[in-house]
Amino acid sequence: MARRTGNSRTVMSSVGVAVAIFAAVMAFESRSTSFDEAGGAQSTSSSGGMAGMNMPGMDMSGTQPAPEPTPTPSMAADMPGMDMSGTQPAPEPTPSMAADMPGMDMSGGHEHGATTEAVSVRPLAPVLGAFGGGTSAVLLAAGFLRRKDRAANQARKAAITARRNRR
Amino acid sequence: MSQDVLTRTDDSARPDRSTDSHADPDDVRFALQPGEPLGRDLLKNRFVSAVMRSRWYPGAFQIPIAAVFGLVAYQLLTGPSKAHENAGTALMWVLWWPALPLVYVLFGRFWCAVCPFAAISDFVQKLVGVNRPVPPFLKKYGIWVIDATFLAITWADHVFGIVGSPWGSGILLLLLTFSVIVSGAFFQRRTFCRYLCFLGGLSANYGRTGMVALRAKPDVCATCTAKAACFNGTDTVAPCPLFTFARTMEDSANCNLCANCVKSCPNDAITLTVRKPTKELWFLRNPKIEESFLAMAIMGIVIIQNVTMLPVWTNALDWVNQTTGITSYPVIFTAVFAVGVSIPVALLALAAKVASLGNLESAFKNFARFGYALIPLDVAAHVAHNLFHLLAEGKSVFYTVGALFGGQTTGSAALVGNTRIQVLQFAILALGLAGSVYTARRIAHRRYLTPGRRRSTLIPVTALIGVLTALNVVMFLFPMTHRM
Repeated sequence: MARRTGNSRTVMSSVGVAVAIFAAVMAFESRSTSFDEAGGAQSTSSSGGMAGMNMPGMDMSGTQPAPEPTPTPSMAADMPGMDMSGTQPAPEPTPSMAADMPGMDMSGGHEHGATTEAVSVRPLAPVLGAFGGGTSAVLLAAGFLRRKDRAANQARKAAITARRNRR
Repeated sequence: MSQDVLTRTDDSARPDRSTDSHADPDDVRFALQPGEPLGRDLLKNRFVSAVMRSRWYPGAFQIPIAAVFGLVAYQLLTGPSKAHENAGTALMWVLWWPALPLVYVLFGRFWCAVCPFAAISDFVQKLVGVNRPVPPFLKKYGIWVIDATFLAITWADHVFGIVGSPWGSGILLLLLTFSVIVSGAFFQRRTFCRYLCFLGGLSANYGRTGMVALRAKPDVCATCTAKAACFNGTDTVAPCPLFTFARTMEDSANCNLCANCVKSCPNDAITLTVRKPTKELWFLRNPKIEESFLAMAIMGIVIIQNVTMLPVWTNALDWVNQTTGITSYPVIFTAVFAVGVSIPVALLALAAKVASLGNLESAFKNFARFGYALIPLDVAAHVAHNLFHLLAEGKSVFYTVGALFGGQTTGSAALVGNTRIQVLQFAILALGLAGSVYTARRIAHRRYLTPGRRRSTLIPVTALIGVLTALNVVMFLFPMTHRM
């Protein structure tokens, strides 16, 4: 009975994880599609209006006033992770290195308002699918291994008991 | 001296060691040295005792932290793709990561008791756990795996973007979660936390500086007949998750203050004492080279993190680009990373070699022993670096989290001005410097009998500490870029 309970628990948990991940993937997929549909209009309006200066946590002015927003490609204050407003101006990016540098991206690709567009290009479905699939496989494998171990233990115990009874 | 003050007896103070007429007198004396004296037992306080013995501890902390972790993971994976708009990034890298070393200094490895990954591991174990023993490979080389993982994650952060990218951070969380699930499903207790978690390695090192220590009373344990209930657990209490036997425990590296041993000990032999920060490092008996290496690697990582956040980094990239024609950031960063991590390791190796000429111990032993003396400076540099992010970007946590609930979303992210942050950074570095120099002195005085051996050890080690402090001071003089 205990074995059956453990087995069913394993299968149920693995299936549960798989179903939950599948549901999440489908939900995000549909959300991404709706973003795609609305994305063009949103990104155009927000990047044109420099909405980024009102973005949460984006005012990096510290103790100094924030620079005037000017929609030029070289505006350092708009670049997350590269705000040099402390004491020095940001250096000019060299064209040859821009695209290669994660975390130091000087390409000007960090325009505000592109959020929803960027969300839609994340490969969320395959990543969550792989995670869910891998997790389900691990849970199933572990569950069956545990069942096998328990069966082996019970068989060993039964053999010991039988040997004692024979004596 | 009050009754609360306990002194640990020394297992190695055996007559066979002390009677060896050919042994180095310093070795004999070192073997006879008592262990770390323990201070006031907090478990004699009714409230603390009730909390630690409660069945809701540490679950009561785990539940809200797991809820926040869920929110962080959700935000990182599905929230805004810009770091400065993402509440997950703010909570994880601006609030949690900078606060973590402070938690280690105050409460040792307490975070590991309430870590959501540990909760996931326990849950999976209850569900389908096979409970296989820890593979011998992990027992032997686990800390090296941790060292390698820590370096790999830092490298990946710069090359693929983890901290600055919510998606990258989300993927990291998923990978860690999957590793925890695998470990919890197949192996005993918290194998992942003890032998594989890179944060666990950091915690083990930093936790040694912690002001709280859990130990067993050796005189009570000597008469115990409970078949190591503190290690194996009881019918109602889980065993020690980090495979630590309280009776023989000499350091806090692998104690997360989960209090399982407190609950399972039938003799009330467990004590929870308060001590001075870094005190444990003064009484180290069996230093390990891999732990010293990790301490130095962390120092290298902090240096690299600092360098890449300075304006000079961009200039250096330009210079490399113009000089060598190499435009690939991964290639340049990998080279810088290798050099940056090697610098503190090489400096300690050099100091150990110089010290070995005077103190007559091998360079390896010196490396292992005095790497621990650098841990206070390590912690200080780590805290000082992250203090900038916490104080210069701290309000972004309010803004981004507030934005989730329709709150205020604009304003400066800085909690205090840059000058004040710099003053605090230097103050923390000064504390780290003092802690490291004092620790080196205590280790040398405890280990060596003659002033000559002590001096010849302390001169190179102190010089190393000075060089690394100066390097950090120079870097903190420049303005750093923000994380978000």
